[in-house]
Amino acid sequence: MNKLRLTTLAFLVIGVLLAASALTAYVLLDPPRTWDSAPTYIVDQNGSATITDSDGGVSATVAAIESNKAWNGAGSGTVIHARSGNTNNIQLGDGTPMLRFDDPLHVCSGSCLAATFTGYYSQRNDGTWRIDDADIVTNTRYDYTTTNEPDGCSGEFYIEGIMVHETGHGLGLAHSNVSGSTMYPSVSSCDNGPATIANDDASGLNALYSGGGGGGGGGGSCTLGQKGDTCSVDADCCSNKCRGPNGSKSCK
Amino acid sequence: MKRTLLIGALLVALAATVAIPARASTFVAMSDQELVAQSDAIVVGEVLETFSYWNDAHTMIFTEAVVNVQRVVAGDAPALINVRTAGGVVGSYKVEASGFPIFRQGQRQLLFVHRSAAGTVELTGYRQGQFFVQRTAEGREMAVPALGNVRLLTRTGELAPRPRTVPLESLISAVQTINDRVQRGPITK
Repeated sequence: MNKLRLTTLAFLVIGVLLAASALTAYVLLDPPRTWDSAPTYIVDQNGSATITDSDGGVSATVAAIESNKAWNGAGSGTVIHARSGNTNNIQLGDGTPMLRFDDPLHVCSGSCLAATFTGYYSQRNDGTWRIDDADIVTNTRYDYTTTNEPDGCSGEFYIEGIMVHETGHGLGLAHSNVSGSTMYPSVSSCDNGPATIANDDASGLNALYSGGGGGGGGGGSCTLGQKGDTCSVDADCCSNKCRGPNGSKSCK
Repeated sequence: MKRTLLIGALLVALAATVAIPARASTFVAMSDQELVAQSDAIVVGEVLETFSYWNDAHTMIFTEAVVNVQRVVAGDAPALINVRTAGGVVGSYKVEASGFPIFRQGQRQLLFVHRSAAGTVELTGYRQGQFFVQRTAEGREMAVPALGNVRLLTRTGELAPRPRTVPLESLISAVQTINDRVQRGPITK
């Protein structure tokens, strides 16, 4: 009887701890919100004044955002694109997500390191919200670097890790309590760990973009149909979107 | 012994379940001295109303809270100040950045405010400069950090200690002690 009680108690503790660990995993923005299709971030072509690689961190940032080590490798296909471009007309609500290495919106100064503003406006039938825009601004008060900088890192923040984290917000993720994850609200200077997502980050992203909340084309580590592949039903595609006339459907 | 084990297990479970995940943005912690020195005024007041609008360039939605100043703790402030923060709702369109300050009508707050380069009055240190004033069952007024689950970073990127809920008068006293060594100009509405 004593053994039975102790065993029951042990299972109770394990069960509660497992449940608690689930509670302390990834967090979605509240209310939940996603993109209908993979957004393309326009990364400010002027780069950052404090980054001394060949283009002020533009190429490094674009590569980090598009990397399969980041959100596109989570398992929901290609959920985000990035390219260098003109961001002079940055504005919420224009449907074009932009990433600035400064703060032309005058919203992130003083103690703010970087901020992602999501604009959302319409609700789907499943109760989630559709993101229309998500712009990122950066406080120039702090020093940033990239893995491409020839002089290495000294007391600076890696812009790749910062921006993978910020684009995580832009995709609908809040902060996680899992230490070591990209969405954990801590990034030490000279630590580019956040540029590579952890299992917890992937789980959070997949909760938003795998088979439901919208988003996603092909690519990443998904082994189903990629964008443009022929398909018969939604389940054939990484994006869960098989569209077109019968006989010539393709993954979107 | 078994009862002890059971109680221990429940305590472990409770401790684990109350570790609710943080929801935050990326901010660097300011010291108390910085918070006071970089504020033009520190006030206790009530939010009379809030309103949101697109800025003139139509690039961002801002929200302003009209605060009825009940007590000037430090610096100088008029009876009414409009405190601005980024984000808000206009029509059916919402703009939000988690971790940015939020104001609700009827809230009584202690606020660290400064005039921005744009001329608007804003919180110093974002939510770090915002405390909700709440009364205990015993009638004691407490200053509750508005940070909630927002975590601040140290300048080297580590997690900074969380500010604690303290009696309002203790916070005011601490602020005034620091303020005695700080000179600042008046803030206007």
